[in-house]
Amino acid sequence: MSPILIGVIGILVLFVLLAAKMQIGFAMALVGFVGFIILNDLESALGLIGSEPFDASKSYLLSVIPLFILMGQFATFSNMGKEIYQTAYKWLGFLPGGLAMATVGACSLFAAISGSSLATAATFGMVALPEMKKFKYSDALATGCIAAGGTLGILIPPSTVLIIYGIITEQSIVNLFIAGVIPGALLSFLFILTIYVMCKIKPSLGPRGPRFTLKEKVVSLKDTWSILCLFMLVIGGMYAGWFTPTPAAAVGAFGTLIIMAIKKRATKENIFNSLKATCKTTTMIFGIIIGAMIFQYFMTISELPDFLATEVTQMQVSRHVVMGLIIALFIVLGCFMEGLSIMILAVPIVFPIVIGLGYDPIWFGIIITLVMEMSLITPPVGVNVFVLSGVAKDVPMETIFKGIVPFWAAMVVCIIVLMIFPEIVTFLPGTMGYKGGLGF
Amino acid sequence: MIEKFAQRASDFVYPVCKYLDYIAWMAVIAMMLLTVANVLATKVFNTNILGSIEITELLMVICVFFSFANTEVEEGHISVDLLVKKLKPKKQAIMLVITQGLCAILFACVSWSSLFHAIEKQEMGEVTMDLLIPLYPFAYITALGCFLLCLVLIIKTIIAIDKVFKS
Repeated sequence: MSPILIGVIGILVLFVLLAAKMQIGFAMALVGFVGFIILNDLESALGLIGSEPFDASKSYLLSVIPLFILMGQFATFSNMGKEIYQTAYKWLGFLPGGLAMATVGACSLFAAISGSSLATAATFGMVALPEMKKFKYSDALATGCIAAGGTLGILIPPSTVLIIYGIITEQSIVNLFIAGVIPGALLSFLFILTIYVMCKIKPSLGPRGPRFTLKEKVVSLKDTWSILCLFMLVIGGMYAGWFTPTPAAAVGAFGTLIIMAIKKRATKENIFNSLKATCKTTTMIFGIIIGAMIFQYFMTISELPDFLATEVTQMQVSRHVVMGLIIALFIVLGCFMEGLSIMILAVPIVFPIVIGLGYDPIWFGIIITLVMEMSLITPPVGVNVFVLSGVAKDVPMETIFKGIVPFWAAMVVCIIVLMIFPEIVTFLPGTMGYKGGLGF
Repeated sequence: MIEKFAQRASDFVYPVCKYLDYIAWMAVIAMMLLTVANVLATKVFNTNILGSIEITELLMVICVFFSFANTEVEEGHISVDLLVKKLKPKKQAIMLVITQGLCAILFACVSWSSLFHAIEKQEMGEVTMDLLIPLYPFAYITALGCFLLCLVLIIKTIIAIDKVFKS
C-alpha cells in the first residue's frame, strides 16, 4: 500500500473515531501513532509519543495561550461585560434596534480582552438579553445578535484561534493579531448595519431604547476607559514592537487583575475560578496541540499534503475556485465540529495548497478564522447557540438559529469583501514591515 | 462489584488529580508574575531577569501536565457528541468502552515512553542553558500527568463496562 493511501485511510479512521465521540486530541494522537508505526516502525513511534508531550508543552511561545486565557477569565469573572454593555447601551440604545447594536459593540469591545467566543456569548447572554427582553425586542434578533456578536471574540485580538493558526503555519502571532483588527471592526460594522436595515424594514423587531444626555454618555465611559487602555497597551504594545506576545499577554492579565482589584472584585473566589477555568482550557488546547503534532508527523511521512498541493496547483482551474472550495469544505466541516479542532486538523493539510496557489498566509489565517466564526453558529453544532440557549432557557433553539441567518449572511459578505480587497487584512501588518507572500 | 471497584479507584485517583491541579494554578500565576517582573526589569531598569524564559518554559510543563488528568475528570477534553447522542443508552455505553479503552491504551503507551524519555534525560544530565536547571524532573512530571490521565481513562472505561452490563 502506498504511503499516500495510508494517509487517506488515516484521515477516514480519524473521522470514524471522532464520530464515535473520542476526545479530539486523543483521536489525532492515536491515529498518528498507529499510522507512524505502519509507515515507520514501533520504536520510532514510541519515541515520538514519548518526547512530543514534553517538547510541545515546554515552549515559551505557547505560554502566550494560558496568559491570554487568564486575561479573558479575569475579565469574565469580574463582570466587566456588564459595564461595557452599560456604556454601549447609553451611546447606541436610542436608535432603532439600538440595544442589539449596543450588544454587538459591547461584544467587540469585550472580545478585545477575551480571546474566547464562548465566554463572549455567555457573558452577553446574561447581560444584554434581559435588557432587550425588557424593551420587547424580538427573541430571534436578540439572541441572534448575541450569538453572532460572540463570535467576534476569535477575530478581534487577542484570539486563541489566531495563536494556534500562527503556531501551525509558523506565522508571526503579532502579524496575525494586528491583521485581525480591521476585519474585526469591519465585521462588527456589518453586524450593526444588518441590525439597522432589519429594524428599518420592520421596526417592531427592535424598538428604540431610552435616550441619554451627552453628560450621561460621557460619564458612562469611566467604566470602560480602563479596558480600552489595556487593549491599547497590549495590542498597541505588540504593534509598536515593545512586546513579543508572551510579555504582552502577561501584562494584559496582570493589568486586568489590577482593574479587578480597583473595582473591588479581586475576591478569592473570582481569582480561583479564573485560574481553574484557565488551566482547564489550556490543558484542553494542549491535548489537541500534542495530538495534532503527532498526527502531523504521520501526515508528513505519508506525503499526502505535498501530493495534494502539487496536484491541486497543477489543475487547470482558477485558484479562486479552489479557494472557494476550501472555504466551502471548512463551512461543511464547521457544521459538525467545533472551530478550533477543524483549524488544527485541516489547516496543515490545506495550507501547502493555499501557499502553492500564491495566497498570503496571514490573509488566509483571517479568512479561516472568519469561517470558524461561522461554524460557531451554524446548525446542528453551533457551540455559541448551545451556550446561549443554556442562558436563555425560554427561547427555543430554532428561534436562535433563525435569528442568526442575517448575521451569517453578513459574515459571507465580509469574506467576499476580504477576498476582493485582501489589502484590508494585510495593510496594518504591512505598516509593521510585513512583506507577505502576496500574489494578488 | 465492578461499580464498587470503579468507585474506590475514583475515590483515590480523582482527589490526587484535583490537588495537582492546584499546583498548575500556582504555575500560571507564577508565569504571569515572572513575565511582568521581567518586562519591568527590561523597560524600566534596562536589565533582565536571568533565565526568566526558561523558567516560563518549565512552568508551562507544570501547568499543562499537573492539570491534564483533572481536565479529563471534569470532561474538559472536547469531543463531538452529535452522532453518539442519538444512539440508545446501551449502544452509547458500548461506544464509550471502545473509545475510552483505546485512549487508555494510548496513554499507557505515552506514559511508558515518557518515563523512558525522562530516564534518558536524567542519565544524560540535560540542563537548561542559563540557570542549569536539570530537565529530568519536568520530564517525570510529563510522565506522571499522562499516567494519571491513563488511570482516569481506565476508570471511565470500567464505569462504561458496568453500564453495558446494567442496561
